[in-house]
Amino acid sequence: MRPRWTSALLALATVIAAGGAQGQTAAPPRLAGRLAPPAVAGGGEAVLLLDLDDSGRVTAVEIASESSSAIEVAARRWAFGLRFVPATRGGRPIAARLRYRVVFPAEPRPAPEPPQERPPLPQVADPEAGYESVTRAEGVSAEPTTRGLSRREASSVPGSVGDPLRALQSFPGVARPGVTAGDLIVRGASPWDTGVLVDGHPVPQLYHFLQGPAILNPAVLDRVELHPGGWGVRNGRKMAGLVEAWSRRPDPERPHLELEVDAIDGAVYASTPTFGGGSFAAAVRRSILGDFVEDLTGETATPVYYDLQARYDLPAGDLGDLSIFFFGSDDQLVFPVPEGVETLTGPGGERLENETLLTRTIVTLRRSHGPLTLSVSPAFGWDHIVVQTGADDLDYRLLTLRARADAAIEIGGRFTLRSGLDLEQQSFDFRYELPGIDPFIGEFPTPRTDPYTIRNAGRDGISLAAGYLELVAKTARAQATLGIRADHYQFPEGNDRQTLEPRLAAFADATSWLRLEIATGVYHQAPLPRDLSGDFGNPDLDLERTVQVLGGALFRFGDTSLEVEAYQNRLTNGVMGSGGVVDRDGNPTWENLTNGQTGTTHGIEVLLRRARRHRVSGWVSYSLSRAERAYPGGEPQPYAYDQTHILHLVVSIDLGASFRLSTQWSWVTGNPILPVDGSTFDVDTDRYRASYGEWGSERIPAFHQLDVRLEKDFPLLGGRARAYLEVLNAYNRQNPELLLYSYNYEESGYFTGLPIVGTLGLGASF
Amino acid sequence: MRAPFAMALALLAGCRPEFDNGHVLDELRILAVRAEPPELRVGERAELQALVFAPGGAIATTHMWQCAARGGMRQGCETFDDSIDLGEGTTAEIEIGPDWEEYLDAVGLPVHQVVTVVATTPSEVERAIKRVVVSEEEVANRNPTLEALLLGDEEEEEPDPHPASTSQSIRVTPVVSADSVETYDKLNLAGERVSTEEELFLSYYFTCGSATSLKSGGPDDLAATYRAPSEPSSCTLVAVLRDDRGGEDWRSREIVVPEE
Repeated sequence: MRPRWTSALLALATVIAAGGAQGQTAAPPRLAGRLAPPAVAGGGEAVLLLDLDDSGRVTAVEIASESSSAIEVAARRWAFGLRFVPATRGGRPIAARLRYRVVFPAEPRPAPEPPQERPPLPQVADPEAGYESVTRAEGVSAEPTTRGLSRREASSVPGSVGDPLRALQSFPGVARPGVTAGDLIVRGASPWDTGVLVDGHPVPQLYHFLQGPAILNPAVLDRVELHPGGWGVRNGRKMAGLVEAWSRRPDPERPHLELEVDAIDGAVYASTPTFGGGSFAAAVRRSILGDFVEDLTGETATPVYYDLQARYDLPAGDLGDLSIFFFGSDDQLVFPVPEGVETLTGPGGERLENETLLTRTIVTLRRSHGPLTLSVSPAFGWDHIVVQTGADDLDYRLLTLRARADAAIEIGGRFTLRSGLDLEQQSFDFRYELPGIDPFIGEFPTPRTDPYTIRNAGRDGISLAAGYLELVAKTARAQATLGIRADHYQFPEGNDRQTLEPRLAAFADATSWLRLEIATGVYHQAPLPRDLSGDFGNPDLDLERTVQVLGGALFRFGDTSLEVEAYQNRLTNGVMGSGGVVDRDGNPTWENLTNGQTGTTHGIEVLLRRARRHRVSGWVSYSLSRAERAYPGGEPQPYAYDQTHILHLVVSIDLGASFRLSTQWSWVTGNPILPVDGSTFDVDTDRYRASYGEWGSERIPAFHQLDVRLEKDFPLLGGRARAYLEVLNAYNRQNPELLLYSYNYEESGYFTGLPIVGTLGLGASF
Repeated sequence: MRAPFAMALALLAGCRPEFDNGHVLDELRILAVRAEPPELRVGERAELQALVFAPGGAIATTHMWQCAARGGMRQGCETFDDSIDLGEGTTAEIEIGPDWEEYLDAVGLPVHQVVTVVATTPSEVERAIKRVVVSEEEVANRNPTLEALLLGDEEEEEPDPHPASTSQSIRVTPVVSADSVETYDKLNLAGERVSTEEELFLSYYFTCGSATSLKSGGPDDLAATYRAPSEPSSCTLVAVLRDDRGGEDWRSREIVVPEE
């Protein structure tokens, strides 16, 4: 009898034939041999995305579902062992991508196996050279809303160049970042409120400086997920969204080489099998743009970034599977301000220097034994930040030691109990010489541009410890997750805080095409490190807190999905400015900051998405939201990151002959601003002081822009290559970004964003 | 191409609005207001003098008001019911008379009195504020003295105008009196006295030409380099000296680039 998973492959062939390019005879890839899924302890299933080259070899495997580590490892090994007769179009072999849902049978156990809920055979879904999106994690997920992108899907977003972390910004719930920062702004919250995890460990920086690309080369990423709200208790210490990036296990079967170069940077990725069934990969990238800036602008500026990643995987026998992932990033900006020019950074002739160095080493050991899955992951981090301008001098070094441990056990096939620890120790050295707080008019500030300077240096540390417990109950059509997380924060100067965070998430498949979901939870986070400083902030600050509530529906109509979600996040204990004087260690001291701000963010998000297997694919994402903050006794006002409407139209069209045209059109409400309605010259300080209107009574004009990308894929030296032309801001919209004023506030004008820009890029995979 | 990163390129490439340079005198300005003395005791008086520049020989009308420091000061004294109208002119007199005693007893010393100056021409209005300290200090603050503004190789100021060639760079060296930098006691938040030394700062303004170090500070860094215009012109260079307690002085020079 032919195994059903092989039958499914044949079903795939039918789909491919139906979905081939119009006017051409298309033939799907065919399996060249049989390879049954191996038995895995506990059994389980995984959804796989397989990249096939035009010789029918599997060149990449992505795990598109949230599966146990044992299943992931087994699935990759199994998939790399598959061989295909390549897909063809017009008689010519072409690359292709397949989507599988494969079920791995359980290893024989002494105790009787529970009845299988699903047939232990793969279900093939997606053919055709293209991508498959990871709209939601499937299976046992604690996160009700998971929006992700495969690497191929990200390439459909002009401006991202295959960078799924950057392409996340085209999803609903993600606001447009400011011109000088590329941070993620999720559901109207400050960038600090959204966590970024790589292999489960937080990193302080997701993108290279000045809105650069992500610090991780897309080639080393397995998957990227955005959880805009309602995420589970395994993670904490942030009160808005969460981004999780997972590194990719190098191919243990054969070596690979990937090259990529465009006007911005160049990158190389290489992987190779190693002894003992292991595998190793390394990637390096360096910016190119900075080398041309002087020629382009006449400014002697040197913006340079590097990043480096390496991952080693080794089956460790009874210990499980071991992976070591190292990554580092270095951003350098040297920008001499020309003589005689007044700038935002101070008078001319000064030199702005900024370097941010980040490294992380993450070790992960995973083991599955029967229904039990264990993982232990220590990590080591080193950060170094240097800022030098005419007014600022900062040197900050941070050593981070982390450890995570997670254990999950399946109980009776319907329940999963998970528990874990999340520990972190930060030790930092700092030295700074920074402008102090602008004095009030009742004081006598100096007539300098920097009214007075605060100098300090020292060494301190923060200890964080958390434990969590989560119960997942699932049936064939519903799942509920109830969890609780306990955190302990030990801040400098002996201040400590404890929190308990209950969270609940559930979904149910009402019909075959409709899923309903709800989630609620409590989230806390520590103030910014700067805000805990006695010089600039208040070391006695309490944690900020949000309560998130969301509910939504997911409609699936074949390859098209519609997701609608409404949410509300309520903030209490928010950090706000204070002009009070407090007693600190027996000394009267400016309080600077206190907890007292409240806020509400609510909105509706819509995501209409069509899979790339069609000639025309893409998505429409729309967010309608209102983010407000209020001071005690005051009326709510729009928050600085409030953007009422955010609309993205992403369309990708297969033009045939391996040409693909992708476009993105975005329309975003401008951020609220504090308008200036006059000014007075302060003769004692030699500066004009503005008088302001009502905060939020005006906004920066709306942003809209069209980006276009044309890509051609072709065979090269036994591998695949692609060339692309990308045009940003195709109709040359002068988008206002920042409202700037003249020295006396009489004149104002907008710093405008990127004009129309075109670039060429080349990439190759072997 | 990464759109956001390209934004950085745009930032460097100068997609920013062009504004007037605040050190170029081409519109109505109140550059300084000196109180002599800058720090008073109750019952004392101070002479006020405003340095007003009106371009193109325009006649500016100047008006001053006095009031107590409070919130909303950026709106100016004239908006408060209890402000004192000091009259028109670039000079006026401020007095901390008996009418203020009740207020000063209530708020305690030291405090500020604030002077609002409004200069008006038919086409422009300029506003400025100036603080005057009211204290009981035994040694009150004094204005610093800008004794000379030496141009080029001058050892002492020569009669204006100072001749210059087109685009000539001229070293500007201010001469500050030896007693301009004073040592005084500052009160910290605990009310303790902390001995502090004043710092002096200079701001340069000019009607034509350009200058580096438009603001300079510190005892060894008050000098600047002035660059004469590229066309024959007659330019005024103004230097305003400030300490960090409200003391002020100023001096100006004329520089001429003659016809070839």
